[in-house]
Amino acid sequence: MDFFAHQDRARVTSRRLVSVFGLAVLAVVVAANLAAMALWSLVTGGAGYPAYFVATNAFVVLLIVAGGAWIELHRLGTGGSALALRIGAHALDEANPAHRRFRDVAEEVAVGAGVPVPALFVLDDPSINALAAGDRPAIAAVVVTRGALERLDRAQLQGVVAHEVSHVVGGDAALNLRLTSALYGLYSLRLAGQHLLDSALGGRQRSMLSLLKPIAAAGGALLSALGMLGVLAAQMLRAGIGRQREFLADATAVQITRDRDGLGSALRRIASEQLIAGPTTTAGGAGRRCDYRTLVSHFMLVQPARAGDWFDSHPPLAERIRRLYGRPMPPLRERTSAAATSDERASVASAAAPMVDRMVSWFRVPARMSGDDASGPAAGCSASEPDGAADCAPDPGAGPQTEPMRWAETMAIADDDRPAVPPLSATPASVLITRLRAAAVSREEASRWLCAIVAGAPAFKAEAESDPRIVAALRWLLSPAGVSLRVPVLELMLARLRRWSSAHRRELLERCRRAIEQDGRIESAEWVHYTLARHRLLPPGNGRWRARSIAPGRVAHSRALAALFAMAAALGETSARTTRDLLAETAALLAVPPPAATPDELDTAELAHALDTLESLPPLDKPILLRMLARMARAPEDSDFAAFVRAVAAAIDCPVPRAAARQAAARRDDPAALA
Amino acid sequence: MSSGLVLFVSMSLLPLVWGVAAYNRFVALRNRCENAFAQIDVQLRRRHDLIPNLVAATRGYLEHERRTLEAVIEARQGVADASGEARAHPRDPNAIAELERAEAKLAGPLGRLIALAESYPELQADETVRRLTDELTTTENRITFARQAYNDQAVTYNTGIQSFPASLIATMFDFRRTALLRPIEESAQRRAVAVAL
Repeated sequence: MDFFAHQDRARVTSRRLVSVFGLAVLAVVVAANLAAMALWSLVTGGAGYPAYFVATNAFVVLLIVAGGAWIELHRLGTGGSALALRIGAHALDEANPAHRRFRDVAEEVAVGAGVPVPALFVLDDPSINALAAGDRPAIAAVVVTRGALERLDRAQLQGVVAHEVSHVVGGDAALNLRLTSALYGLYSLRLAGQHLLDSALGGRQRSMLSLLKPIAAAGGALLSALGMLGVLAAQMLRAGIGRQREFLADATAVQITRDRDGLGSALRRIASEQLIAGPTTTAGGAGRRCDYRTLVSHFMLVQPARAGDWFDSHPPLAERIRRLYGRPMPPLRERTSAAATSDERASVASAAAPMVDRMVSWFRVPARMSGDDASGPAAGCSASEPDGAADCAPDPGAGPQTEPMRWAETMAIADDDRPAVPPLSATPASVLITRLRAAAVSREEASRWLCAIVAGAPAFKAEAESDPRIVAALRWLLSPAGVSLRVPVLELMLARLRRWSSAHRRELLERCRRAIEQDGRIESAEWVHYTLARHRLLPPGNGRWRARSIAPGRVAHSRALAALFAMAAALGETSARTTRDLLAETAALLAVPPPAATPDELDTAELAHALDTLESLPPLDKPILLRMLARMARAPEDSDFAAFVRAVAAAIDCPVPRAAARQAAARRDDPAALA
Repeated sequence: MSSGLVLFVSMSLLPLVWGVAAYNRFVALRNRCENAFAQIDVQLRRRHDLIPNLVAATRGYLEHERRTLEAVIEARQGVADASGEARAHPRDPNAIAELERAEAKLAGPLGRLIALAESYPELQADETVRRLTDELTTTENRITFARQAYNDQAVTYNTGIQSFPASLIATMFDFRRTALLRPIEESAQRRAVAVAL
C-alpha cells in the first residue's frame, strides 16, 4: 500500500464529493426559488414576477449558505490546535512519563508517514479515544484521551496515533472540515427559515406588516424544511464517505507501523469496553464531553455512541477489526493490560518512594493498626474482588483501606482474629530487611538469602556469610520461632528483587529451584515459597499465559481444581470427605463440571500447570476459589496453609480476600461442618 | 488552416505533453526517495549524538564494564565514517550496504550497554539515564520507520520507471533503480529494538 497513491485517491474523492455537495446546494437554491415563485403566484393570484425576482432569491439563499459555511470554516480552520483547545484538550506535560511516551510515539509515526510532527494534546477523559484535526499536515493536531495514554501499551498507542496521523496524511481532516462547513451552511439556511417563522408567529400586531405575516411564516417554514432536507442528505453523504476513510486510515496505519496487532488490539480493547458499558455510555457523561463528542465525532478514532445507521461516521468496530485481521476477532479483555498498567504504576511508585521503605516503617507499628500511620496512596480495592466493596467500607478499628493495609492483609498480620505477631523490627530478621534496603546490596548476597529462605535450612550455609548479624537473622527465620514471619520477610525481599531486570529475576528463580532440588525431594513448604517467588518475580502478563491464545475450557478448570484441592488436603490434613464436599461446592460456585476425584499423587509440574490453568478463571471467580480453599485449613492460624493460599493467590493473579481467613475460623467453630 | 491540420498538430503534441508529465513525475518521485533516505540519515545521526551522552552518563556506574563502553564508542566511529560515504552517494546500493554493515556492528555493543544499564537498579533510578534510554528506544523505532518509508518510496519510484510505456522516458533520461534497504544481520537489529521492553 502506498500513501501517496492514497493521497491522490483522497483528492479525487474529495473533488467528487465537493461536486456532489455543490449539486446539493444548487438543488436547495432551485427548490427555494421554486417555492418562492409558487408562494408569489399564490399571493398575487397569477400576476407576473417583479424584475430580478429569481436572481435576488438565489443570491440571498446562496449568501446564507456560503456565509454560514465560511464562518464555520474559519472557526474550525485555524488549525488543529484551535479545535483541540476548543474541546478542552491540554498541551503535553513534559514531566509526565506517559505524555513523554505519547510524544515519542507520535514523532516516530510522523517519521514513518513522512509528515511533520503534528501538535499533540491530551484530553482529560477516561475512555480510550483519539482524534486528528487540521486541514494540512503542517498545522495538524492529534488529541489522545487520558484513558488511551493510561491503558494502552506502547504498540497499541502507536497504532492509534498512526491511525490519526493517517487521517492527516490522507487529507481526511481537510475533507471533513469542508464537509462540516458545508453542512453548517445548509444548517444556517434552516436556522434562517426558523428565524423567519418565529418572528412571523411571535411578533406583536402591527398594522402595516400584518398582511405579510402569513407569507413570511409560510416562507420561513419552507426554507426551514428545505434546509433540513439538505442537512439530512449532506449528513448521510458525509457519513458514507467518512466510513470509507476510516478503513483507509486503518490500512495506512498498518502500513506505517507494519504492525497489525498494535491498532488491532487497541480496537479490540475498545470493543470489549463498549460491550461492557453498552452503547449508551455517553448519554450520562458530563455536558462538556457530550458537547465535544457530537461536535467532532467524525474526527475520532471510534464513534462514542453507536446508532448503527446511515448517519454513522464510523464503520462498525467489528467490521474494522475483521478487515484488519482478515477474520473476526473477539474483543480483548481488560485484564492483561490492566495488570500491565498496575505494574507500571507500581514501578513508578517504587522509583519515587521504594515500597520496601513504606513497608518497613509500617511494620514498626504494633500489629493492630492505628490508622494514622498507614497513609500510603489510597489505591482502594481492586474491582475484581466481589467482596471489595464490603471490605472497603470503613471498618471500625481497622483503619482506612490504604495500600499498606492491603499489604498487611496479604501478609495476614493485621487481622483482628489473629494472635499478635511480634513486630518485625523487634526480631533479628530486621537486619536482613535493613541490608536489603541499602543501595549497595550485591546480587550475589541477595540471591543467597532468598535461596535460604525459600529452600529452608538445608540450603543455608552459615560460612558463606560474612556478617554475623545476617547469619543470626537467617537462623532465626529458619527456626520454628521465625516461621510465622518467614513469608512476610520473603514478600518484602521479593518486592525489592522485582526491580531487577527480567533476565536476572529468571536466573534467581533458577538458582532457587536448584537449591530446592538439592536434597532430592521437594517439601510442601519449599514448593509454596518457590511458587510465591516465581509468581511475584515473573508476574502474569509477561506472556506466560497470553502466549497460548486458546483459553482452557471448563473441563480443564475442573481437573486443575481437583489437583489444587489434593494439594490443599495434603497441607491442611483435611479428611477425604470434607475435601470431596468442599471441592464439589467450589465446582458448583465456579460453574465448572464437578471433578470425579482428587488425584492420589501429585507432582510439581502438574500443580504448576493447574495454577496456570486456573489463572484463566474469570476475575470475579478467583476470590471465591481462594475463600473455599482457605476453608481447607486445619486451623485459622496455620501459617503454612496461609502461605499456601497466598502462593495460589499470587499464581492466579488475585489479591487474597480478607474474608478467607475469617471463613476458615468460622468453619472450625461450627462443629456440624466438621465431618 | 484546415481542420485536418489542426487535428494532426494536436495529435503530434499529445505524446510530448505526456512525456513531459512522465518526466516530471519521475523527478518528483526521485526527490521523494532522496528525502526519505535523508530522513534515515537524520535519525541515525540522532542516535550517534545520543550515544556519547549515554556513555558519559553511565560511565560513573559502569567503571568495570569499560570494554563494553569502548566497543560502543569504536562502533559508533565506524558508522560515522560509513554514513559519510553513503551521504555522498545517496542512491548507491553499495554505499547503503556498507552503512548497513556498520550499523549492524554498532547494534551489538549498544544492545549490551542497554542490557547492562537495565540490570543496575542504581542506573535505572537515575533520571538522566532513564531519559537517555527512552530516547534511544524511540530513536531505534524512528530508524525502523524511516527505513520503511524509504523502502515504500523506493518501490513507488522503481515501479514508476519500470512500467511500460513510461519506462521509455525513464531510459531516455537515465532514471536508475534505487536499492531497497534489507536487514543484513537480523539478530543484531532485533537486539537493538528489544530496548522497548
